[in-house]
Amino acid sequence: MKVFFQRYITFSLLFFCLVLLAACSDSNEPATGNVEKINVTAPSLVVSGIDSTYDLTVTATLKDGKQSDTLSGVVWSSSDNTLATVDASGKVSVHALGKVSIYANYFGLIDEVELEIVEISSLELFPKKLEVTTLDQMFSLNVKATDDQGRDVLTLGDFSWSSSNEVIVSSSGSGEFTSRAIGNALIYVSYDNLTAESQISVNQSAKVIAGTASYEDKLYTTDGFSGSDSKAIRYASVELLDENKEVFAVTATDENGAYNFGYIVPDKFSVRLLAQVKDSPAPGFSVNDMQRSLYSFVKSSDVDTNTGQTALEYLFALDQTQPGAAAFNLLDVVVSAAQYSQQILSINVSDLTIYWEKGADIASSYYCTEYDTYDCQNDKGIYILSQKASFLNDNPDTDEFDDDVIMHEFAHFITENYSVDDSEGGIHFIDQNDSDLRLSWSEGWGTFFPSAVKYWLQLQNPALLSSQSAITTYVDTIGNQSYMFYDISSSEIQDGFYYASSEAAVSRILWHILESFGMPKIWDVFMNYFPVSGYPTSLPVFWDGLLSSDLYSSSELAELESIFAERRVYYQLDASEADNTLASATIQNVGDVPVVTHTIYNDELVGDVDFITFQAQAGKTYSISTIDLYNGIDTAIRLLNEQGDVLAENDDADPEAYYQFDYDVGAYRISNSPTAMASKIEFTAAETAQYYIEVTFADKKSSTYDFVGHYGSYKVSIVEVP
Amino acid sequence: MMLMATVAQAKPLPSLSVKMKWQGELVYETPMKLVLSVYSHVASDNLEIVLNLPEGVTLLEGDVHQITSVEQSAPTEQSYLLLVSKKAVGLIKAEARIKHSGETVFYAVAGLPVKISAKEKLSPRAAKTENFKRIQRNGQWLREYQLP
Repeated sequence: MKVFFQRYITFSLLFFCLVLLAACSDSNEPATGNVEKINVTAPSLVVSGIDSTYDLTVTATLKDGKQSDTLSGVVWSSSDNTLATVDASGKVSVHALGKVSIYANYFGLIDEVELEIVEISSLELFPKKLEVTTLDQMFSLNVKATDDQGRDVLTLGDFSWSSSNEVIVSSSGSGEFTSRAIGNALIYVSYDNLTAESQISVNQSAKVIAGTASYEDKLYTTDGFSGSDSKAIRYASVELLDENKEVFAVTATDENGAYNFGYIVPDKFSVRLLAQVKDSPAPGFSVNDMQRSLYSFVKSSDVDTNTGQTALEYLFALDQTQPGAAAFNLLDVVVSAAQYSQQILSINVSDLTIYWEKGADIASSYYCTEYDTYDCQNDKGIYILSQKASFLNDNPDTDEFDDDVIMHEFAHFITENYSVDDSEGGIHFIDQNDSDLRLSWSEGWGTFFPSAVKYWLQLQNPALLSSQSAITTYVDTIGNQSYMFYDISSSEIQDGFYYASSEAAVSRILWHILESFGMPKIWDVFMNYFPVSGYPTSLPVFWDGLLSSDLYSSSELAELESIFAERRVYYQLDASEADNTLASATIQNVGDVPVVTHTIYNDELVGDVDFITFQAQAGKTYSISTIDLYNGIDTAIRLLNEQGDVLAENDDADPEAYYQFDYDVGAYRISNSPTAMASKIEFTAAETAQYYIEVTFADKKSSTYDFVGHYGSYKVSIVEVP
Repeated sequence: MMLMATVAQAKPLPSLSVKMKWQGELVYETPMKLVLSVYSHVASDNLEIVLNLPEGVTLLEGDVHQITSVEQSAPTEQSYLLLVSKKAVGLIKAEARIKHSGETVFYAVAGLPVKISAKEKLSPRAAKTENFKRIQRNGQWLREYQLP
């Protein structure tokens, strides 16, 4: 679902967009089977005007990643025909106030938009003052309509336009005006009982105020920062201020960093560039300092007296004392991530605040889910680290140009706000492999996400990339050097990067799934399985979601298993199966070095139970334990005789070992060390006979803190106690 | 139920870390043993350790630049014999890098001051301050910079 959140109705702009859309259209209708998903686009999600109509468009994402807006056979429907109806071409007719969902169904592929139909409570015209420099010049103005909550509203209802002096400025009655004579006139627009006006001055010495905005970005490789490049400041808010510093015209930079206020009247003025995006593709995104103040940069006019044109060029260099380059890089990175989220994940992200200030020593870079009195004093948002240089720290860690770190935190932002994330957060290490599964999943996703965005950028617009190394490398710098990097596609650096409890392993698994099955397959689990699974988010629950979302061929399933197994994550039955009964138990001799790896898999679906049998001598004592536990398994064992009678049982050899209170996080974390959730029985054999060990998954899922794994692997040790 | 509702999801850190300490209290003009320990979750045969000595500190024994190995989750220690003059100022700086295919994968740094000079003490005050003012516009505070 892609939304163009259009604040102002500019007829000339609409015309331009229509031309552009036509130019971008794929004239070839894609084959039905080649369509991966569809996206419905609305001109705005908040609309007004009873009996007005709005055109929705549907775009197809094909399996090769290309897009097409040429689709036939789409079936449209409305959730409530009393509020709005939709015809076969996607034209929505509004009937009453309220919220309504409009669905598009393309041979079983469904997308929707939710429209909110509201009343307009205020109108404004922009610019408030306009100077036209030539006679017979046609022009139009922007109408800004808002509801009682201050939200921008799109309305295609009937505006009433008029001019106070038709001799000087004539009105077409439909929003187009023409300068007819030198002088001044007022233009009015009204809608219901609301009215707004703009002052028009027709003369031949007016100024055109336009310009471009760019910043110097740091390029990086896996060795650290390697150079710089100029980048456009995209979609940022720009305000025109009069001599009293009052705002009387607003606009935004385009994708190339250009802005243009058109013909503007004031003799003295200045331009304010803000580190915020108000509309699509990242509505409500901004960069603030630690006191919640939005970064703002003001320049005064520089008029070319020969042409009457005024160009205000912004170029934020890296070596300036003001923080423009850093603020706009932070904004640009999350704008790219927002565009990716729209195009590939079909989510319209909005309202993200980044808090960053040079020298503000915070604990790390992190995403806060909500306000707290310690790390999250500015409410929810992304907080970016900027250590202060000092005598003891002459190599401070700052992250404002570490695009991978910024996108890592953005990944947390979208899962927290548009899916589910059950991680408790806090300090974690990329090379740790015994983490709580919720943590390793969340952070592995975070480290994978930048590569997914960069992969897309490389195809769409490689000039936006700052990384000069492989797009699959996650780089964090300190000073100008690489602090660490990790290539999520490489299998070369492997030591320790194994198991579902390793965030590095999780990120590598996700990357290989993206390569083989595509990102929509991954995100589908986030949207449609995690919220209803009943389990905290983790790699094994993600596996369940993958299998629930689609039917895989045997070769596809084998490929999935292979991707997981490459990181020693075995979500499959082991070679000892079927060993679910006493009769089919695996034989293991006392004192043998444990070499057989067992897995517990699909314990809830098919009841995987492993039996191991050994022969004991009467009067001798044996120690039986599970060892080498990986991927989050929590074993429980029972000792049985040949008749199936239970002689002894144990869940945890050390009941206190498997979870620890983490004071940094303020919550319990599960330890997934190879021994933390092991089981152990010591017994003395009453008779020489065959005995059986039954291994199952301990049931801790019902307990609040005791989330462990879902599946996992282990070995069994049987030794005689001297 | 969670003990703390707010979640702060931080960036990943490498486990590579460097620590330095004197064997005993630092005594000037006397050979002193400096112990440097490196810890990593990742095993590597390509751990690079660099010791940077400030003016007034003389190396008596030890290799200030070496490539060695580190075991997974086990500290690797290096020791140096140093002579620190009374006129020494600045920081002994130790850097550790784990490299793979010639590129730095993990990097860690630690500093140990031998003496803080008056100039360095004052340096934070000498830093340039940013030229901005806070203004309020439509209820939103701006950190506004006036550009030339």
